[in-house]
Amino acid sequence: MSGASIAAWGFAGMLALIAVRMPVGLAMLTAGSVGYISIAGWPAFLNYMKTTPYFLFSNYTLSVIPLFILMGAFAERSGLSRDLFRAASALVGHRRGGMAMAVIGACTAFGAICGSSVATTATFGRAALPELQRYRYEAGLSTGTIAVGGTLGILIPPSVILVIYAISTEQNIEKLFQAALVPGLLAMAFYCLAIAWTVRRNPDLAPPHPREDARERVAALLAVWPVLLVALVVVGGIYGGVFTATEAAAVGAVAMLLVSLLRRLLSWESFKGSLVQTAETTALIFVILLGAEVFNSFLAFSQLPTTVAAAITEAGLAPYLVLTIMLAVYIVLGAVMDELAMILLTLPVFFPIVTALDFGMLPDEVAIWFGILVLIVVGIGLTAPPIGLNVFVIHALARHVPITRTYRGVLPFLATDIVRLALCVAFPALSLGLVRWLN
Amino acid sequence: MSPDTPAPPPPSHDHGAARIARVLALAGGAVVIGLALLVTASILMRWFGGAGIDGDFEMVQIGLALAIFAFLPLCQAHRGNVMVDTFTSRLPAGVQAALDVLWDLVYGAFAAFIAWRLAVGALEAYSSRTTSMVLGLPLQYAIGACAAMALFLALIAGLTALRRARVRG
Repeated sequence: MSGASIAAWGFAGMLALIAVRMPVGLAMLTAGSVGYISIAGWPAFLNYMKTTPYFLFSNYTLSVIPLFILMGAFAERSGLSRDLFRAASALVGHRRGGMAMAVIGACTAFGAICGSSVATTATFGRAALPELQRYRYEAGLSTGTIAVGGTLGILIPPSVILVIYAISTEQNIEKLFQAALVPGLLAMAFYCLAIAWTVRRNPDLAPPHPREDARERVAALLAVWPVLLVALVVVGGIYGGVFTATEAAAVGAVAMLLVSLLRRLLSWESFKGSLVQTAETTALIFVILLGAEVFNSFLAFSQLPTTVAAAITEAGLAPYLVLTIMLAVYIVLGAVMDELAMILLTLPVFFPIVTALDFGMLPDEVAIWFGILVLIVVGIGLTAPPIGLNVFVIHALARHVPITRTYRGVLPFLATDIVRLALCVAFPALSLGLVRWLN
Repeated sequence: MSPDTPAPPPPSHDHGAARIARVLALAGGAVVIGLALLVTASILMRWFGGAGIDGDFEMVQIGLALAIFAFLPLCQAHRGNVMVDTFTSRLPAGVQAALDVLWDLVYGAFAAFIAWRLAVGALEAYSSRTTSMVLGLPLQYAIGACAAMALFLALIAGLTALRRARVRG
């Protein structure tokens, strides 16, 4: 059997295992190990596993993942995310659909201190959903907005997905974070437009309510300055070249801990809760990383990625056609697969193809730009039916809202996602402008 | 896909091995906070004094590997690993549970295998005197500790399989 056909069997086997409820990371590990052994042999595999798990996990750059998760956990457990939502709703809550827009605004700010969409969704599911219900916002609009708002956790840098992209393609994390900012803010603007459009078509979805008095508004805004300061230090520090991503994550986690302690917002129990939450979220990411590492080593042995990449590059297709096909593949895969596993498994094949195509830019710039496009499609996969992780997260918090209703609430946002993706494909400057300007 | 957060409420009273997993995860969390403090201190020293802390880079590397291995058992004890629930949700509950028990056992077998290989790796690092670049820290202790935690992960996976099998009886 040739390497390529073993690889094809490996892929099929992995997907079959995932389909029968095997955890995603374990399925990649199992299929990857079997494939590795069948190509390179048992002794090579024994040798490979002797140090790989240790050295994979002792990667300096990967330390940003637990650090950013820890920072987000502190912010959530000490109620700072709720403060963000209050401040945003004090600003725009009285407008029609304003409470939903406040969710988007608060998620954007939270996205600057949290790198995970699941964490952002869970956070605002707890902090904002009861409020939206109190103001009698329609259930699907409420849960849909929070599910979509959660994706801002990764769309706004820092972002776990971008860290993984940077590591697996050996790109500069700081540049990727810079490139993500404008598309991230664009997402925020588009989501607010989607809310405005939805409530204008059907005003009953979001009954208006009177504005709070000025003193309460000022108090709500003043309460969030420490969080905004930490966010500014983290993101500004990375953009200004003061910190590397890891340093920013470390400083951010320490600063967030200090803010929580100084304001006496973090009890001993919530402190331990933050650590446990960090442990679980980090562990599941790293299990997938280990599985992908083994599976991708097997793929590299099979030479499938290089064979496919060479075939597509030699076919002489139009660069934008190839790019469009890849993004379409991501949207389809993202609908049924775990997003992290998806990018880890596809990048060894897709990345060399994309960077070999001629888009009239430097290969480095194409790499950064492609990272942002991948980030956008990952965001789509997180909310799109039939399997959107964020939708499941919000469903677990609000069992009384049928999941189909949440999906209906998500649809207008998904339409803007497609528009934003098209814009970012058509105008690479949206992503690269800031990178060029800062460097 | 069943997400990790919001985690299924942890069993109201973790006991025995699950409690150790929790303590281990908290210790791993403390290590991560320690790394954050170390890096922050190093940056502040660079700003004010000129030189940062020597070898902070490799302490982060070693600490991260230790923390991750410390996190894994709790994630398994709380059944946090991401899985995709597609057509299997329509299977009888007994079949689903049987599959989950099977995958717990496979995971446990992998963890035991990794523990064995890491232990061999630790012994080799010991005999070849592999150390970190700047501080010359011997790596066999870190790798050996990771091997021990992987073995504990295997135990936890076995116990979750056992508990699930019993519940379904």
